[in-house]
Amino acid sequence: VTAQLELDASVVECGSVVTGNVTWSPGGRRGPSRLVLRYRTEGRGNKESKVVARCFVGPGKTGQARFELAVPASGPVSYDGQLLRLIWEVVLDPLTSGATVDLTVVPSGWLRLAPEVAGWPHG
Amino acid sequence: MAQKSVVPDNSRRDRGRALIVGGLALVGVGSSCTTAFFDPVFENSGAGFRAGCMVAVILSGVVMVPFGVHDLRKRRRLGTPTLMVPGGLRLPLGSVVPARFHRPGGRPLTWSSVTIKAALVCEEQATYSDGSISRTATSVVLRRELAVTRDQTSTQAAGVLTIEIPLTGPPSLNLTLNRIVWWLEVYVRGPGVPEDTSRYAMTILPAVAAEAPP
Repeated sequence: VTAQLELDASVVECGSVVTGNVTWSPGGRRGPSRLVLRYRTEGRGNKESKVVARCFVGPGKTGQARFELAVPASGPVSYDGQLLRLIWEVVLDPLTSGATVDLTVVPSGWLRLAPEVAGWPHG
Repeated sequence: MAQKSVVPDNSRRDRGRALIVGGLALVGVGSSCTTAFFDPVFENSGAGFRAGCMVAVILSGVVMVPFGVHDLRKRRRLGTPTLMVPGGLRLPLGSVVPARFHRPGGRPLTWSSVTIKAALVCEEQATYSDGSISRTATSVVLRRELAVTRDQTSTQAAGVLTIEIPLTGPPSLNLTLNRIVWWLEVYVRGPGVPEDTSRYAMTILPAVAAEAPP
């Protein structure tokens, strides 16, 4: 199965919703079953990851679907520091080629700031 | 009216108790082993090495206890420093809040010679496995001095400071092995005054304060 994920926005605030489109075409036994929103860490410390939201997108061999995944109000936010990095991503499950897309999660209220400070400095 | 929250710094009490309990435990363990050392069963197995280990354990315990007692006595003399903050120490990015520091104990201070300073500190902590041992690496990613206005009417260490959380700082992170922690340090320094540092843990929320500039 080959699939394509497209997010409506690649930067979202804590407490908001990630939305987008997923399309997949035949090539295997079955199509994707669900999308997950998760974060994972990289860096000096041992790796950690957590799935925070799931969304069923259908079992068909081909198709297209809209999805909505909620980002917790408590975060965490995307971060790229000295010892650790926190990455947010939407992943098609089961994993297929091209079926992972990174996004940036910023603090709630961040996107209302002026453009000169609106770029998230930690990722 | 905003609700005020008084945050005590009990770190000196906790550290003192831990040192005393840990020291006594080491002395107890060392003494027990010393008793076993004279058992004929152990007569022939590395006696010198084991005796050295036991002495080291007992001495470590003996050294720890006075430090713990010193911490508890210092706390009794100086009192528990407190920080009074409207709404407590859970703050969003970009927030600016006044706080009042107060240390109730100690001799009356000669204000001309005493300084109170404060700093906001943010640190990354990453825990990793090193063989069978777990280690934690730390890195201070932000340190910002805060302005403190001394309370001229008080003969004790007291003052008002303004906590300014940088808009571009990282919010607190509290995963199992990877963390971003924030704290506020207040220092009282001066000739004839015991050096004293208070530490207050803070939680920085993943949100922008309503009063932050748009």
